[in-house]
This record gives sequence, structure tokens and C-alpha cells, in this order.
Amino acid sequence: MSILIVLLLLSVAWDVPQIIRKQRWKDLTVMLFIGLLGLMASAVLTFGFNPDFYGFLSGLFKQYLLH
Amino acid sequence: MSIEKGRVSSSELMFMMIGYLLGSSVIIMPARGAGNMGWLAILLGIGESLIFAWIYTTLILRFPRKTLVEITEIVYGKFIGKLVALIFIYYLFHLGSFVVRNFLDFIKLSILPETPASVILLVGLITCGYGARKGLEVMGRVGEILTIVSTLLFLSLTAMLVLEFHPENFLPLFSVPAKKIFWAAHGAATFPFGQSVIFVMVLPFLNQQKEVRGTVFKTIFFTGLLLLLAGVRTYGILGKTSEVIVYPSFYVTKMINFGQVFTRMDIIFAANILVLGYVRISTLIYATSLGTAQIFHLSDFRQLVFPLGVLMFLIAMMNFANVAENTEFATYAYPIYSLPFIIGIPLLTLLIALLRGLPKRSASK
Repeated sequence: MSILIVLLLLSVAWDVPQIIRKQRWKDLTVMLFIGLLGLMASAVLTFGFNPDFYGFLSGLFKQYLLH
Repeated sequence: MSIEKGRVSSSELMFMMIGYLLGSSVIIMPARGAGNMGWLAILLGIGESLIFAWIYTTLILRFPRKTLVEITEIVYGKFIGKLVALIFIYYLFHLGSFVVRNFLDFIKLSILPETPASVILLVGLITCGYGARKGLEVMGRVGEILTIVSTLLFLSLTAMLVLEFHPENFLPLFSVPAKKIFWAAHGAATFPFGQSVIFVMVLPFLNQQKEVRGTVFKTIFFTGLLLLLAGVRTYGILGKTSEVIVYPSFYVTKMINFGQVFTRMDIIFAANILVLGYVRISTLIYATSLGTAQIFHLSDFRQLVFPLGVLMFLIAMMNFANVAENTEFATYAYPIYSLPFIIGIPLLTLLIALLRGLPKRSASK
């Protein structure tokens, strides 16, 4: 997982200088926000939290709509 | 002014979209629940998806050179428009993570069982992200070449399996209950054909806007024919067994033994699938990044490609515990879950645009 985080940080770092130079603050905010979401997702993965949203949906549709 | 300045020709877009639609549907076969009537379910699914396609193309022809994200802002107003666009972009993002998971599972189970998932994801992300970052023109050109080569390979592999084909596997006809056939047909209409909803994000960049409808219909027709061929081939060879095999389309290519020379062709099929996977995932990352950039009125979408791509790939890891759960979701939940996004949002937008008489002359400029 850490390789993906490295790629995430690298990709953000790659574009940040140019965005700052062109003073596109909105672009920077959105990009950093998405980057933060990525870090949060990796944290969720690391701690092994699984809400099983899909299992719930499949069960619901299968049980109540198809039978 | 649009963020994307590239333009694609009708044939580039058509082949790119054929590659996109074929992508994971050659891994998870559509209309699996219909047994030996799968061919009929696919045909009915094509019919249903043509209705979807008519809605998408009507919307795009009404608002030339505008993506759905831009159209929602015109139709619903600034606040609600952005909200609707966000919901639609969430769907594309989630679809992307779903597709990535399909490919990850396929690679882990069939080709590289010992390789860690993160390595596979990293290589995939760099390739797909690079393609998406280059923009639609590059993706169109690459997609055209890759899809043509993949289709020719697929046809060659199918031709080598002719001797294994047993037409009696389809008998007796109409032995499957109509309810199952219609459910499978609807399943095929939503996966993969309904996923052509992504057209509303790329069609505005077609260089000849009058060819919009023809391009979409041709794409769905050719994809439908190829999927029909894949479905008939697989069921004709494996019969009922195809319903219990995880990747039946891949499994049949292992049976190729053409004159004792052409054997073990499964790895060529796997490489073929990965090529189509590139087209599919890069298109989804591109559409998600472009849509997000348009919602927030950013000056460029390119800086969002890798952050969104990484997020998409991370969510893919969380999506399902195993392949069985993935297949169950695709079969039972996805045909209903996807409806608000693939038909609800475009249809509602079109109806409101018609009622409000949009676009007005000032809005269309």
C-alpha cells in the first residue's frame, strides 16, 4: 500500500510548484483535498475497516426484490 | 471555455468506446443467469441499451460541445446542478474502482497469484494515469489501435475454438424461465452497455457533432455483436459448466489446441484483456478527473488524474472481500444500483431541459 501512497505524494508534488507559480489556488485546494482523501483511504485500508456496503446491497436486492 | 481542447474523430471515439465497453465484460460475462438463452438476453440487452443511448445522444445534440457536468449547471442552476454533477461523477469514480477490482481479481487469480496486489495496482495506475493525463486525443488514437488489435486477436482465438463448439449445448431452447431471461437482459443492458453513459463526458469532443448518434449506435451494435459471439462461444463449448467457472471466457482459451501447434493461448487472451483494461480504466480516470475539474471550474484536469487515480485504486481494494462477492454484486445489485446514474440523471436532465425550453440562445453560446 505504501507504494501507492508514495505515488500519490509524488504526483501531488509534481504539479504543486507549477500551480503555485500560476497562482491557481482553487486548483491547489481541490488537488490537496483529493490527496487527503487518498491518505484517509489508505489509513482505512491499513486499519482493516470494512463497512461491507456491497454485501449489504447484494443481500438486500437478492432477498427482497428477486425472491 | 472548455478545459479539454482536444478533438477526436468518429472512428477513434468508436473504437475507444468499443474497447471501453468490452473491457471487463470479457472477464465477467454479461447475461450469465440466463443459461443457454444467454444469447437472447444479450440481444434484448442491446435493445434496451439503444434506448439509453438515444437519451444520451439527444441530450448531447441539444447542448452541443457541453459535457453532462456543464449541462446540469445550465438545466438545474448553479447549486443543484453541481450537486447532480457530483452524484454523477461519484458514479464514474465508483465504477472505476469496481472495474479496477475486476482486473485486480482476474490478474491475481489467473496470471500473477504470488505478486502483491499493490504492485499490480501501481503498474496499472502509472500506465492508465499516464494515458488519461495525455488527454482525449492521445487516448483516442491509442484506443483505436489497441481495440482493433484486440478484436482481431479475439476473433482469431474464437476461430481456433470452432472444433470444440457443441451446438447441442443450447438445446432445449426456451427452457429458462422468462423472468430469468429478462433479468439477465436488463443486467446486460446495465453492464456493460449502460456504462456507455460515459459518452456524455466524451461525445462533446467529437469533431463532427452531427455524427454523435451514429457513432454511439455503431459502438453499441459492434460491442453487442462481439459480446454475443463471446457468449455463444463460451456456452457452446462449456455448456452448463460455464455458470460455475469464475472466468469462463478465459477458461475456454485454455482448451485451444489447434493442430498441436497453437496451444496455451490463454496468456495471449489474458494480455488482450489487460490491453482492453487499460482503455477502460484510463477512460474512467479521464472522465472522473475532467468532471471534477469542471464542477469546481478548475483551469486544468491533469493535476487531478493521479490523486483521483490513487484514490480510485485504493477504494478498489476495499470494494469486495473476494471474487464471489464481486460477482454477486455485479449480478444482483448492480442492475438496480446503477439505474439512477445511467438512466435517472440523463433522462431527468433531458426532461427538465425540454420543459424549460433549454438551451436558450444565450445559454447555448
